[in-house]
Amino acid sequence: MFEPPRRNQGQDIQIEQILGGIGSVFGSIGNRFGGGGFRILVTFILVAGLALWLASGLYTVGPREKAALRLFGEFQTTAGPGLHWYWPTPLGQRDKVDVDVTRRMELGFLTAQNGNVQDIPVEALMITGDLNIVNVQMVVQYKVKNIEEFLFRVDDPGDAIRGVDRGNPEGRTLKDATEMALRQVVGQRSIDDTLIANREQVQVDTQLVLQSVLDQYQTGIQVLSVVLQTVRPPDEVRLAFDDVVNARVDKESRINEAKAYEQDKLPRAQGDAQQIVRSAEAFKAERVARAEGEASRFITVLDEYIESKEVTRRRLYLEAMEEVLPGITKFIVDPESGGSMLQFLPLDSQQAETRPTSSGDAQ
Amino acid sequence: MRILGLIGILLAIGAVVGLQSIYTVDETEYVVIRRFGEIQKVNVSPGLAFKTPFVDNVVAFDNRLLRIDMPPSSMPDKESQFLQIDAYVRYRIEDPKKFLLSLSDETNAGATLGQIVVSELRSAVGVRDRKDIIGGEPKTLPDGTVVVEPRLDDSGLAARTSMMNSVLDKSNATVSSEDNDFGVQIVDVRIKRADFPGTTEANVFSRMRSERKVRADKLRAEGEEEYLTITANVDKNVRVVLAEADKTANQLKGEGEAQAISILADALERDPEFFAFRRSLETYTKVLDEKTTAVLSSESDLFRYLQNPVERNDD
Repeated sequence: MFEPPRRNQGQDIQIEQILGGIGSVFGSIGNRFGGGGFRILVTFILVAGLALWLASGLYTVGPREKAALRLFGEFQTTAGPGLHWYWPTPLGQRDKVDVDVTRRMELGFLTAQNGNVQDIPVEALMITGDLNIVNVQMVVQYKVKNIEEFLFRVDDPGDAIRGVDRGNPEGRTLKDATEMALRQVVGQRSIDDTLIANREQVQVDTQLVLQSVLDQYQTGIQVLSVVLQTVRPPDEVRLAFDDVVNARVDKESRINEAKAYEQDKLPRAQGDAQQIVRSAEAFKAERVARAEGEASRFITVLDEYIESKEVTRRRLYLEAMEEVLPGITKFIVDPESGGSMLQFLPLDSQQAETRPTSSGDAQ
Repeated sequence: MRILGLIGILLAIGAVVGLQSIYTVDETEYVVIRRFGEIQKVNVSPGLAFKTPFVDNVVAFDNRLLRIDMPPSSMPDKESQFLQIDAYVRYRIEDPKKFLLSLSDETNAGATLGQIVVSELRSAVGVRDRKDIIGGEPKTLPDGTVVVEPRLDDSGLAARTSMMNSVLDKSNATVSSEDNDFGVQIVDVRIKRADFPGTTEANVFSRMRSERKVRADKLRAEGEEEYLTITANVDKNVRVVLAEADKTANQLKGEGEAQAISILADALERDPEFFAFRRSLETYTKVLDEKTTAVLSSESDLFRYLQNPVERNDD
């Protein structure tokens, strides 16, 4: 991405020596042989060489890039996008850095070039504040905010796996700080907070700690986001954690069963209650109606009766007797012939045999 | 011709001498000028600079923030429980002259400073408990849930930060003492990982499992509790609803009967004697059936015409 800003002084001096040497040697050779044309040729070569060397100071900075310019090793200024000229090597040095691109670092896993994802448990497993172990995978997105700091303030061994060169703080410096920040934040939280409840807060806090450390180290890196990917219990205790999830589902479904019971039983009971009340209402209405009917029948008959009391009374009596007497066993006794009721007793035992004779006697 | 050749040679010599008397200091460097091993000068300002040709030579030191990665090591805490601690150190060369004299190069510095910091770290871990090192303060709430707050030291600073500050201060005191005047400044010491050692890990896992089991059991029991609460409540409500309905029904029936009685009574009151007569006749028709034996007097009103067909109303 950029030239590691290591000193190249030994080499620089050699080039200068060679250049100087060539000039003087060519000059002296020209002088010695004294050929006028040869001298012109030598001069031309020297001038052309100088021109080419100066032309090599031309450089372009891409639209997303920034260049840091050093003269004799001393940082001078930065240059934005466009075509520029600066002192060529060995006097000047130019380091171009893409300051616009969002860079990304993975923690706890590694996505290879071919897309294969490999877990890195030693990075991912950490202790929570309640002394549990949790497996956290995280992605940090960042960009370069200060090219001078980014290039010249922090030494770094680089990270060959991620393709980060030596001297670039994106290497171990960023990784160390990220691991430290995440563990510090997770260490102040319970495993449940980390797993479920407060993931957002873990991200925010980690980003704060990470940025403050990166600023303290003058890495020139701006953290854009810290995103937790998978946060899960370690494989060894996975089943136990899954069972808690299942238990929560069990609890919910038990409650739902109860609610279903409620939804079923209560309306039915209310239906039954309605039935009871309605039937009582029917009973009441029936009783009242029947009473009213009976009353009105009585009153109608009474009205008729009042008009001709004696006749009606007798008629009613006789009608009733007509209805009653045909079915029953009758003895008609003349009280004047000395008949006493008692002579018929006990009635029940004699009844069957005596009936015809008695009837005959009576008549 | 000869003069020109001589000039050429002189120019060549001049170029060599000139190049020997300049050097550059990079943005990322300090330069120490040594003459036959003796330190002449320390140059900390980047850019082009001059020296005495041939006799002075240049040694460069990094002025950037340097890193020492300490190998993970197992350290016992106050309760003799071990934690596997992986830390790193960031330091800076402050005084290249002292650095050159005492530590001479970065490799040596890494080893020496690393040792000093590890020993400070070990003693800091040794007087603290695990919670101080991890940084959390677990608290069990009355309902059994565990919440964790940051563990703070006496002055209200996060325990881990306070531990690292103390390690940093003590390490710095050591590296700038009279005996070890290294010319370096330790900028930061951080624990990047603190893990349970392999043997403890198994215990931690089994504790985690049992904690989860407690929680799962509790959840299931809570589910059962809620189920029973709700269904018992439903059963109660069902019985109440039905009882209320019975109550209403009985009230209604009573009202119905009362109204029926009063309606009939109102009507019958108009001629109680006639009612008694009629009702008696009605009763006779119902009561007297074929099993009944009646002994009737021929003198009775019913039979008055049986033996005396002549009208004898005037008797």
